[in-house]
Amino acid sequence: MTEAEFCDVVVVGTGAGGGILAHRLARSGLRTISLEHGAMLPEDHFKTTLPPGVTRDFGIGPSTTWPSDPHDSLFVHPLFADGSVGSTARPKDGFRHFQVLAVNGLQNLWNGVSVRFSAEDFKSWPLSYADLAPHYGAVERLIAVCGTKEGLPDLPDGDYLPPKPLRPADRLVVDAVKSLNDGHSHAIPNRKAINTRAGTPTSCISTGMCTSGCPVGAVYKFSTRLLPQIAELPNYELRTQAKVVRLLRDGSGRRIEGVEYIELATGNRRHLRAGIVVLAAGALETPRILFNSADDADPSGLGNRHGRVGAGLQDNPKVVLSTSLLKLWGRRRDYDLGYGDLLILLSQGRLSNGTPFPFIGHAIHSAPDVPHYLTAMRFFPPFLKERLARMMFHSYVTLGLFCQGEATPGNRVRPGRSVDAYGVPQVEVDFTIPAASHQMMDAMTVWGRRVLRRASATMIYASRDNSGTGIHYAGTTAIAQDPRHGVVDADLKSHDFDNLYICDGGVIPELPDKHLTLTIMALADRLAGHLIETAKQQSVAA
Amino acid sequence: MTQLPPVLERQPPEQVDPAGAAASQDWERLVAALIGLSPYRAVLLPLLPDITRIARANRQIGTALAAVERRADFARTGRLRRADLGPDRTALLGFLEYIRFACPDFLRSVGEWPVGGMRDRG
Repeated sequence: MTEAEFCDVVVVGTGAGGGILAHRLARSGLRTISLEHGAMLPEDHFKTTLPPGVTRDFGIGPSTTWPSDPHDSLFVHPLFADGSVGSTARPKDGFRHFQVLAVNGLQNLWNGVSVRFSAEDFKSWPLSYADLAPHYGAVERLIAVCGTKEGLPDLPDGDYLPPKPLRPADRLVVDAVKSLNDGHSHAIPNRKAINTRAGTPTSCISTGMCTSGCPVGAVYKFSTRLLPQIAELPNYELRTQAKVVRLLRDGSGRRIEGVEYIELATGNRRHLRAGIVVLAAGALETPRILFNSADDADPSGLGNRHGRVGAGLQDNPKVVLSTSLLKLWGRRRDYDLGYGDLLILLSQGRLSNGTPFPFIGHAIHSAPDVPHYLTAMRFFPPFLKERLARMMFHSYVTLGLFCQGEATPGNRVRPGRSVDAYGVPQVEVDFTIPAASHQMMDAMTVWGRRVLRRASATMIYASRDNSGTGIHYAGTTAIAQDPRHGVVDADLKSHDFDNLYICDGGVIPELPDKHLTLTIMALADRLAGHLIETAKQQSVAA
Repeated sequence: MTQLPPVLERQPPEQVDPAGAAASQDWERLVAALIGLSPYRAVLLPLLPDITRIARANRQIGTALAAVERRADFARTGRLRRADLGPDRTALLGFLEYIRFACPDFLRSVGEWPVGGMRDRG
């Protein structure tokens, strides 16, 4: 497509929602433009420039620190945007917002966990699990998700490729969970958007970790799977390094005329008119755009007539427990290392008033090329450290457990006082960990310790957090039939505008324990169908 | 079998300017002296050029080395004692210890080098 200044649909963002939308809309024939703040990473970025683990410079980057918290290693990745260009100024204390400004967004570092929400998880939505189920299936087939059918009502089954085989560490965890015999604890093969088919260019090569970027593109991301199918279509264009500043209202009515963005390569501001605007930029960036679109008619920002934009920010509270399993000491590896976390764990805890709550997690086992275990060995003399490190090398297991978020009145995104390097106002985050979340993290810690001890744990290192490091941001542009309770309706259309849609984590009103990414993608598939159908009807009417 | 080759970036010699080369040598002397204080010096010394480059590129270690250099008056004395490491001791010795356990020699000893080889099958 030439540099059109009008398109049928502009999609802001190329992450979980934006990628699926662009693919379906472009293939339907609609003139579609994706706007992406960041650049396209080179194809070999995760193979040569920034490979996972220790293959380059022992895994040491400019931001690596000593001593370090082993559970913090993910969060110093150089791809995470800093406060000079991100949605927030990333103040030192408080809520930590992680954002990747590049094509694919956060999915560049996505772990790939792809689980469906349960019917119960939709209780506060204006649509049901049955409404979304076909779209879950369509996305699972499109992006290739591995897993197994288990028949658990709390975790509906999908359409899966075979997973990689469990390893000795996984079997110890499975046996430990089974031994609890409580009726609600399960350890099943993980469900991840990973190409486990052998013999393809993107087949999983078992690096043992997915969260530092996949060197062969085995984990789904837009640029390697779907973009190649639409990149050459005459009706599709991807504009990178295009930072959307604000939406442009069409007169004083209920329509958006288009978007204003900064072409970062030149610094020029450009307007792009569109029949439909979809914001799929993330639960903090989308409110940032809406706030910055304020005008005389809507001084609090567009789509915000009831003050709901930014309200209800949530992230999954989590606990992380790491240990060395005694039963694996001295073991050499004679098994496929796989993709790190081959198990999903499900269970239930109780709040202090007896109310049960579900939680989910994964069990991670890998080769500790990056020697995080040294933190726990700091008091041993060097000769003993070397012997222990060799003996324990293949014995490490980490459990990461997540529970539901809670939308509280005080936790929100609001217009900020800072501006980014381009002069664009940022947002600020008010966030206090809810009391119930503390109780849930306590209960998950107790459960995790029990499981690990039964699996022959030695010393357990535990940490917990609910200040943004779950990187499952939700709730800030919630879906609700009543405009007083949310920002978008059941079709993800803004209550205030007829041609403005939102499709990212922000629309999820109450964040369940389960990872939200597959649900965002299923919502995108559903929205794409709605927009295509709407366009057909308009075409017929015209 | 898919294998990821190890990558250790070395600056091509033709791109090194004389002043930069002198500074590089100063850093290398300092890092060599630091390695001399590590219990893993026998393994680490052969990796000196890479460790120096990585140390310079890391914000925490680069800053700590500059502080140690001043504290020890290293440019004049050419000597480094444990006491000169001061408050940077944990970071600097931790950095070296990390490299010892992340280096090919150690990973080979546990059957995990080259990284990527054999990982997709037992």
